Amino acid sequence: MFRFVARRLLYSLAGLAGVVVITFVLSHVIPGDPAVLAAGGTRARPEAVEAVRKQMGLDKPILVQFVRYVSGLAQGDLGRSVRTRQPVNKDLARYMPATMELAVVSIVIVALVGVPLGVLAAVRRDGLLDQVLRVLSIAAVSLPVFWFALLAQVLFYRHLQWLPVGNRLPLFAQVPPKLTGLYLIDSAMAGQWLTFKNALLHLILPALILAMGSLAMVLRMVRGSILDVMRLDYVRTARAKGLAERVVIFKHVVRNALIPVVTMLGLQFGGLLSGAVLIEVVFNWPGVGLYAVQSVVELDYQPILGVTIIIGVIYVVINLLVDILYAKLDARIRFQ
Amino acid sequence: MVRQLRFLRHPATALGLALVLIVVLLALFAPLLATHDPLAPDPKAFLQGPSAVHWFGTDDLGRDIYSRTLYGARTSLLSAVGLVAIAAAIGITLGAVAGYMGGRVDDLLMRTTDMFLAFPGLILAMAIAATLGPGLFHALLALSLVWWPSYARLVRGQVLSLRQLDYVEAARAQGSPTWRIIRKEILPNAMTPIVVQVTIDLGYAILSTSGLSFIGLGVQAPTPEWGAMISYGRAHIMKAWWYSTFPGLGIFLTVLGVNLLGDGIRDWFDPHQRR
Amino acid sequence: MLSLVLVSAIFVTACSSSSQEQEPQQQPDQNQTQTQPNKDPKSRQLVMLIPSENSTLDPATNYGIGAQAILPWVYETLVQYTAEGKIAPQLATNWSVSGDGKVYSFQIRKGVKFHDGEPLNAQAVKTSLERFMAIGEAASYIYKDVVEKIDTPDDFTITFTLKKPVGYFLLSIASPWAGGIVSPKAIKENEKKGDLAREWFMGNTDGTGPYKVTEYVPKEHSILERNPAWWGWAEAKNPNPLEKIMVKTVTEASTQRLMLEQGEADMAFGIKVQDAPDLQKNAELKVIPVSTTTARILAFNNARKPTSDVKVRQALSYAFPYDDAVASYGGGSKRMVGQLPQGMIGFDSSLPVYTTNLDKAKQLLSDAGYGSGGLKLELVWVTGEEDGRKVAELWQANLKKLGVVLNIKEVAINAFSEMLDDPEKMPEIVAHMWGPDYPDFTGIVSILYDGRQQKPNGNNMSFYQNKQVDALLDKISVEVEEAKRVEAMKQVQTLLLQDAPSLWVAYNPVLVAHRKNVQGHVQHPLFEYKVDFTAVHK
Repeated sequence: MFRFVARRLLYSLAGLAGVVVITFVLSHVIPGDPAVLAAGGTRARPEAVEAVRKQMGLDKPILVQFVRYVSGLAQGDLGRSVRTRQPVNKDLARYMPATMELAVVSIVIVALVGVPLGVLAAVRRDGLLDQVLRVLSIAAVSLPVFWFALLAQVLFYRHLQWLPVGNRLPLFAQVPPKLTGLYLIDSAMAGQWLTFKNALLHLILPALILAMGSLAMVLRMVRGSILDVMRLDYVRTARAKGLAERVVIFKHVVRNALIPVVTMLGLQFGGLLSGAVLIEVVFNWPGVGLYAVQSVVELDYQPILGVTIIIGVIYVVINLLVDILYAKLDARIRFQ
Repeated sequence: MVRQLRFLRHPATALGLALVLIVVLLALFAPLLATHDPLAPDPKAFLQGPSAVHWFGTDDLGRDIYSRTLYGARTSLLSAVGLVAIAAAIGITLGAVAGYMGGRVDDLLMRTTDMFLAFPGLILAMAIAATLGPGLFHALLALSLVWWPSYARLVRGQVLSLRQLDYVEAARAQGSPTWRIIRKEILPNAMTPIVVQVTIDLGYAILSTSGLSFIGLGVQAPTPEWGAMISYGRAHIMKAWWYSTFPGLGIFLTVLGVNLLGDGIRDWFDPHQRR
Repeated sequence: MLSLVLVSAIFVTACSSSSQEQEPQQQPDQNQTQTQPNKDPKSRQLVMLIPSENSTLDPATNYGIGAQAILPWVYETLVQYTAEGKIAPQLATNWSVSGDGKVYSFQIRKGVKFHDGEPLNAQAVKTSLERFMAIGEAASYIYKDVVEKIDTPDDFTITFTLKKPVGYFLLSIASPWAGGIVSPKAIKENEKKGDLAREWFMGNTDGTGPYKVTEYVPKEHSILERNPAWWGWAEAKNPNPLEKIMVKTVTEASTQRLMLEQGEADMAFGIKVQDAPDLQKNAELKVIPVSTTTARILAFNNARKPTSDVKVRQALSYAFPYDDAVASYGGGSKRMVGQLPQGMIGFDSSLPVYTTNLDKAKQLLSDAGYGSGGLKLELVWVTGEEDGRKVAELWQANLKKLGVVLNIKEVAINAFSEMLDDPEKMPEIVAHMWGPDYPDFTGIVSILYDGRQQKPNGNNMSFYQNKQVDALLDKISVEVEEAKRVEAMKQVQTLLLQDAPSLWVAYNPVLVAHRKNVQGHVQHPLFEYKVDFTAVHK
């Protein structure tokens, strides 16, 4: 077991290293001078640009910059954003909780809604519910998320006015005491129920829309998995024994069918982090996705690298956990 | 023949095929079907709503959105096909070679694909496209760099299992060169899952390319493209809802059609799967 | 199983949260008891939305347009430029100029204290300005290029000896980017490794102004809180001064509109001009379309063919669809006449303007040898400047009719700057904006068209040189008599129109919208985001 984990870990780290090198190399191939941007754009005098360049350490030779970068990475230093003039890890720490909250709430929605619906669809196979869900699922993964989010925003914020616009909390509102950075959890722990309600209202629409695609996929997967398991022999045997249909389903099928679903949820989480990018852009949600896109537009390379690496790390960790989990649940896979 | 058409009996798949055909035809005949020049600004008609003259309204430069949506279909379809083609070409070649040759080559490929698969696609594509600079070709290149690993893995798996088969051994014994064996004996039999993957990917390709354009990394103005149009229309959405709505519908219906069709094709190839 | 995922997620988030540095303390607010009875606490809070970002609070380094909204209320300068367009005292109560125009002497206001309690005196001003010049960023050239030495003959007098007479000196030092005065105590206490406290000033403030920044998230928002010890509150006569102001960056126009309409924001400066008619129908809002002094200019590459040929440039100028371009802004935008905005000294409405005349353009093109086509041009615009792209596309359509091919290319800001440093690298046409640092001809025209200030040593990005113009610019710079200055300005503008080194389109409009209960706001003619918070009340 340990060897299995160690091997997977090694591969992941190698992968990570490779991408760091590639992206660093690419970043020095781009045209343009980040010092100019930091100095205020084309208006800035050359002396001002030089002053900024020196201040940011951009005047050192490339190899020195790379060495500094890698050694910095080892210490958790991800460089400095030209745009915000802050260290990237500080920016990431500021924006990460927002994205996390979005992803966590979404995955909860996906699990709580997708799994039961998938079970229902499987049980009432080919019934009306199943057909409707099938169509809706395909529609959900066919929707361009950013477009749908835009329309939803106008509908719910403007025409219906059910929900407040943008941000995680009302402006000037008290931020709950920092435990995890996720406002829902922090405010609940502190007993600040008004804040909890506000945070939820601001969060609900982006989280729902983010969850849509994953929900559809998980739903279909659960349905398929259950149908697969239902076909297996031992289920037929259990049925032959005369146990009530429901018992058959719940005890044997669901438990076995959910093994691959668990791992899928883990993988979906990574996908949600990536999908959060477009959602954050549309809803102006202050997360790492929005941060990355703003950096992309201005070719501010350090943050782009930083976000790529941090999400890559999370993805790798999740994949690793999922692999281990799957191996634990299904001993056949372990010694491949 | 009857068997081939059987999958059309399912209404969803038929709908999918219909949608895809409609979009392809619209894209193909865009010059004939358009009512205006998609690139021509009309200063007297900024941000006008749908009317008899402008069926889908006009944008902030007075250009006809209906015509731009039609031409946008061309851009989106071509990009998606191009993207999948490049990714598949790279992936299939590398995967086939690695699967067939085994050993160190195979290991190298697996590690490389691990490297790329370690990252969620959109983020990495964004990073690469940002480096390369704005432009449709750069965006496609970035996305294909992110997508080829899944094809490689797929083909490798197929090749590994086919490699041991008798007729392949026979061909090898006869002294056929490696590349011919791969091309003639192995690939044709590995095509099934590839075809399925391609149809599924076409939908995602359209969503990804329009997503990148929405962020500003894809197509350059003034070329009409659905994702870019939605982005431009965003600032005006409260006043000119038509600007973002119609291109978005275009994406949705096209991808829906492709997905329905893809679902049907997948079922046709493997009727035991989740019918 | 799910809990494992959740736990890891929380673990990661908690780790990243704990590495975050301490934010400046946020004040609790909702149930603040008021000193004035019967006033809703919300009436003393204001939310202002701007589309631009602030990435630093340091007046010595912030050169962005977002600085206008915050810095003037935290840091003050010796003199200020009022909403009526006059030079008025701020930290200086009176001043005098020597006969030869080279020595400026200011009397410092007495009784002013920094936010940290330290008193303001001439030495403090000197220290702050020396820091500004040493850092050398933002508009430090305003001091660095002209000042020879600074003296403090006594505690409340400061004199500047200039290298040569500068007619616009007072105007220039009133600029929001000309180094507001910071507290020397703060510099000393927060200095790290000789950085002149740059890192501290990036996220903290210590000035003399009516407000201080108590919460700052770079590029997102700043919260300003009233400084009751400010010297000017009595004069301001504000019946209900604002206690707390949030200046928030929201780049999406539609989001700004939603926030304003729903009452989450009180003032919005980034809504699309095209939305004005809709907003005007809303009884709760007041809408002010503003034509700013930021100009949209299309600069030609005067050093390289084919745009080095004046006939080509003039032809292109006649081919441009001026009226349509202005219309594409959506209203409130003024066509450029000459190179100065209306209201500024030297503006002359009688100057000729180019009109859209395709026949004349055709004639000039064939004179230049392109009568049968063959002219290919590249126009570059910067990511984010959508109106640059739009006017380019309108122009492209006209040029097509003349057989001229215009390729429009988008470039990111830092690649853009690199392109401008070399006439060989610069494309034929560049779409850029220019907003003056201070309201004088020298900051608007000379800076762009002085042949000796070509890129990369200055801001003359069209690589234009005309010795006659240069001589006139020198005259304008030193001449003290206004009539003579204005005459020279007219000559320069006429020459520029003939030479057409650039194409002058229009001034960017900004739609200023605020809720009706926000009173006392007078739009500043020069700095569109400068809202006099000391005068505003609800």
